[in-house]
Amino acid sequence: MSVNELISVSEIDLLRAEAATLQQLMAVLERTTLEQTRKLEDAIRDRTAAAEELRRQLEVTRALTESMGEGVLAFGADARLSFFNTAAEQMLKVEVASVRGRMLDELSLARPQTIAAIRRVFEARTTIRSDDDLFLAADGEALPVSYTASPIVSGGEFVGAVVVFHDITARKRADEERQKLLEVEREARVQAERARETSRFLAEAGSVLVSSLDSSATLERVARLAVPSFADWSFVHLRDASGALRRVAVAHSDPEREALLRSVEDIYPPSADDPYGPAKVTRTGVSEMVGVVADRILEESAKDDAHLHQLREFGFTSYISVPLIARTRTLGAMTFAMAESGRHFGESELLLAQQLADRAALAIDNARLFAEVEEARRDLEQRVLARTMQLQEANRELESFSYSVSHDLRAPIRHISGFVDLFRKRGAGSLDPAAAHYLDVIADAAKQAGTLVDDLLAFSRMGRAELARQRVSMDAMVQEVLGQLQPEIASRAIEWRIGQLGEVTGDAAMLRLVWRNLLSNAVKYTRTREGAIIEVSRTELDREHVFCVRDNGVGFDMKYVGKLFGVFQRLHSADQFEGTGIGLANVRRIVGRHGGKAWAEGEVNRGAAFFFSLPRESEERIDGTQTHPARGR
Amino acid sequence: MTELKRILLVDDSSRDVELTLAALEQNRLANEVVVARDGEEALDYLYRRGIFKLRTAGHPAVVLLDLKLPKVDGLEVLKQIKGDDELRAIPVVMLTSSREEKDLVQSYDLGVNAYVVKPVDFHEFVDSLKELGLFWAVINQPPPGSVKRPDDRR
Repeated sequence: MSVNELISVSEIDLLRAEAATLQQLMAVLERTTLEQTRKLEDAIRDRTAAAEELRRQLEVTRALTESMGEGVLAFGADARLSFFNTAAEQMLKVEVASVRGRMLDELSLARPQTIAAIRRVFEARTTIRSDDDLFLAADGEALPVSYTASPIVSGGEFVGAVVVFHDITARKRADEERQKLLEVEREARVQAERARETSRFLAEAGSVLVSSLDSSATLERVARLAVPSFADWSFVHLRDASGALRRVAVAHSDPEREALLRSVEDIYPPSADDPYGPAKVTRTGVSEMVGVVADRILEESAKDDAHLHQLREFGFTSYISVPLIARTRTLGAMTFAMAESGRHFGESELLLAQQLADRAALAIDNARLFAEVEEARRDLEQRVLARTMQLQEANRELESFSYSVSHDLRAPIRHISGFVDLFRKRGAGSLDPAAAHYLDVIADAAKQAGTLVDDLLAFSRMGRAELARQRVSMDAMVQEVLGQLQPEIASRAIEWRIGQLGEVTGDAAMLRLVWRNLLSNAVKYTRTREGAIIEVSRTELDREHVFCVRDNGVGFDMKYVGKLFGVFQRLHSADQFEGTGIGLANVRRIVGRHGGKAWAEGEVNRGAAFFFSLPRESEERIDGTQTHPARGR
Repeated sequence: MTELKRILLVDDSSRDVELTLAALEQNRLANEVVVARDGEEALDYLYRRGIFKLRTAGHPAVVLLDLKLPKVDGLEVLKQIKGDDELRAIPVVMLTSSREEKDLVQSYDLGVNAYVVKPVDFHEFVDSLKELGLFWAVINQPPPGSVKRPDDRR
């Protein structure tokens, strides 16, 4: 059907409506299009502004990156080099044009391991840093750098990476310089420590050497002190009496090594014709220093293959052997060796070893001299002991002699006296006066001989008897003695001047004998005086009591004062003044045994003064130390 | 009436024996005195052996004993007497020339009853014996307790 024919009125209305709708749609579309166009135009305008802004920012960034000292490289997300600042250009000596757009992996500006590290930024999107790496300049020179490689993220999107690096050549150089300085300082410290140890060793060794006179122990200690500070090994060898070299000390920090060396040296002892080492040094008296021990030396030193093997095993690297010389005699050698520490000796160590050897030699020499003196002293002691025993024997003989005298000599004297008496009784009436006189003389002589023997024995006893110390009142004792002397005193007109005498500590019986002797002497030697005066006094000195018996009797000549206290020494004839000449000897002996002294002053016809002193100290050791136990019967 | 008992005098010196006898006589103590010339004889007498085998029984009133004797010395005789239960009661007087202290000490240690150093002067000797004689020879019974065993000493 055709349109004209078929269109009805209603159809036309429908079409009109449709056209109207389309027209409206068209209008909407047109409006929308305009709007969109406007929007687009706005957008384009905005985008342009943004691009402008971006460009501006980029310029700022470029300016910033250009002005800073760090090198800056930027890469796109595809790892192509997109930016390279001037600093980077200069440091790496590269034209930007020649590298822009190149892939990171293709760049020869860093070592492969560095490239790989930076590559990690693209893969892991993390920042990496290195404080010490090398970049490679275009001319192949290495550039020490520190760098940071960071991802660039925009709106949550990874858009590339930037590498910022810094030339650390100066820092590296400073570091190296500092390192070198540190090294030097450490070396100096090691040297100083070694020097300190050395001087300490020398000082300790020195003090050890002077501290003892036992030379082998001393040398052992010195050898011990030397390891390990001064040497790994130290040895001391000395000549013995036969001239053979003997090892007296060996020291190593490891006792097992030390024992091994001992056993090796026991099998291969040093012999006089050794070409090296202690034996040679002792033989020649000249120091030997081997800075580096060559195998040749070991070969020449070894006594056989096994020995050589052992010597090699010890691994000696260097040694010093110095002679021990005292008073021009070479006593032996001191040897220091290096082994496992790998150290080597030098001139300064040689000098030190020589100093040490000199001191050691002196010490050994002193010790030997001392030993000789000691030996002589012992010998002397032995002789003194022998002599003492002889004297003791002689003393015993003397004692038994005086015992015999006591018994055997007294008996005949007693017999003379006894039989004279019996004879007198029998023939009393028939004796003429002369015969009676002769009998009196015989009796007197016998009595005198008896007294002499008794006094002599008493004197000998005074020297032997133990002192029974006790507190003694001198006042009471003097009175007691005067009582005993009464028979002699009674007929005499004596003026007694007796002071305060106090107490002392001593053997009462012996002290009584002292007083008896002195007082009876005073009485006896004033016998010829009309007005006899006898004074008894006591004087206190710092350390002693001094007692004095002074008389105005016949006195004596001071030039004979030395004879006064001797046994049987008399200054008067028996006819003038009777006496045995033992009394004062006894006084001196008794006082001496109490730790005191006895002396006298006198003048002919003007009297005499006899003094004796007793030490005050003796008072301290009284009581409880009574030497004689009470004897019961 | 006092009965004088027998005295044993042990002395090797005939002179001393003579003097002692004279002194005893002067003191009228001349009762029976048996003289032994050495220690062995003294012991023989006391034990009634040897030459004294046949003597009548009974102990002497006192033994006057010299210290220094041939064969067996005085200290040994003293030791034997004081070490014998039978003889211990006999008073023993050491009569000697020795003034040596050690002899005196030893004698007392062995239990001697008296110790007399013979004085040089005869009169003194006579006096000493007089005292001893009166004490030991006149009194029949020695006082109890006057004899001590050596091991009773303190």
